[in-house]
Amino acid sequence: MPAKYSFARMFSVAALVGLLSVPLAGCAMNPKPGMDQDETAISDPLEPVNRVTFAFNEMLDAVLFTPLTSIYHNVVPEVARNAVHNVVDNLKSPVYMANELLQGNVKDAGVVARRFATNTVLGIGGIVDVAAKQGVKYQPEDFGQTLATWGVDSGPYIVWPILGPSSLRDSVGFAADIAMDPLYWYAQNTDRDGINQGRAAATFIDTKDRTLDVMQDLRRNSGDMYKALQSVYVQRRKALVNDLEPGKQSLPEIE
Amino acid sequence: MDMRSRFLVFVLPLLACGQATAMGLPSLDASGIAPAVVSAMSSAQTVFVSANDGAAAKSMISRLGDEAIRTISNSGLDEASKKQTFRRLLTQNFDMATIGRFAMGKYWRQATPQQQAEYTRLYEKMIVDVYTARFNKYSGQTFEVTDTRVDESGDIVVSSNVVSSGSTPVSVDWRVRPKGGGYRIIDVMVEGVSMAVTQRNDFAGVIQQGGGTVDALLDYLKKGGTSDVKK
Repeated sequence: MPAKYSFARMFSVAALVGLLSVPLAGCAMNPKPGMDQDETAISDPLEPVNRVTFAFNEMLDAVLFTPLTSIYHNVVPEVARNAVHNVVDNLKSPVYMANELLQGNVKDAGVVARRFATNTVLGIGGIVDVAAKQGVKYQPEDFGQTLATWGVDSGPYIVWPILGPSSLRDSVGFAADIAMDPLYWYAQNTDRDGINQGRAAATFIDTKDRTLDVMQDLRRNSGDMYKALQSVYVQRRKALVNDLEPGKQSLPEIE
Repeated sequence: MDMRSRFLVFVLPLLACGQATAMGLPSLDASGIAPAVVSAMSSAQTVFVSANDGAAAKSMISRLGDEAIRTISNSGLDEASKKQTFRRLLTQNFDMATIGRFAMGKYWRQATPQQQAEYTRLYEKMIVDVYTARFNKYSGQTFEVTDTRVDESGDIVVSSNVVSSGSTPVSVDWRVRPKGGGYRIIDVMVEGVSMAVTQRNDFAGVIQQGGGTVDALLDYLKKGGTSDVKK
């Protein structure tokens, strides 16, 4: 496929993302505080649909993904599981770097570049996170966070089939991160679909594996798992937008 | 800006837009504003927290962590006496009444005094059960207090890391409030996620899904509140 075509496609995806982001700026996750308004309440206009999707996802988890994840966790040794995590993480470095630059964090973009170079060369294609062993701490940035730093509100909470919790903003971010991923377009344009499929599968099982304990704890200790997971998702995204910096976001008012 | 003026800057616009009752302050008419501001100022006094408080809160969290780990790893103790110790540690160090009230949110004020009392009892039992189960999953992680800061709310936030071998450390922040000459934990934040807020959203869901009554929450807690209870 000619390079010109791929650029046109990349541009059209980027334009679509741009168009979608504009109306997002208008919609807020939480309504304006008024009389008796609970600052911790999460507005959820899509709740009826979301609950159906959520129930479907919980069913899929129970019959398929949780057993698969347990097998993965128990059969594949920790060294190999860490290698899977490190490789998929390292391959996302160009996306992390683009988002750091879009957020104006030139210094952190440099950290990503150094980390990518170190792990790709010394870490044998990213299998070992050598940079972490050298004490380089890094918290990934995605386009959902970039939009947030540009002042775009999260928009309504959305539960996607299989993929799970998101928001309108973070869904756009998810698509944009794929659209700005050079490896994705390389595989697309050279008809190496296996690369993208394998990468998606590895990312999925790695994420499921890393969140299994937390999800099971939440399922045991919540009365309405839908609301509990939504709460955790919304709080976690907010914390990530604030880069987990202490004191950057105000704590809930506890009387 | 010092604490008091920061508090006033924060509180005055809220009084102005009629949110006083939502904040637990008495509702105001025009003649009531002056006394209310005075009382807001005097309560602002209590938010002054000294460096001493920070150090004391920090050592309280360290001690709590050490004692919890010592209890779990003590093979000489049976399950019952371990749970007994956890119960003591939790009730001594957590402000259960405050956390429980927060977790119930707006429904607290809708509950009768009897419901409130029953809820408080069930809530405390649930917290002890949940944390005992979590402690029992302990598998050699280390616990280190890394930092303390005074939040603008006047509470002290003690940051810690829970480190398991082979994986990235988990950041756990303890929100501690000076109370009656001592200190009480009022929230635990894991990787930026507040347990109190999560529980409050969860409880609101239980009540809404259960027909909007406080009894729905009490029924859930009576069943233990720690297993998969779905409607």
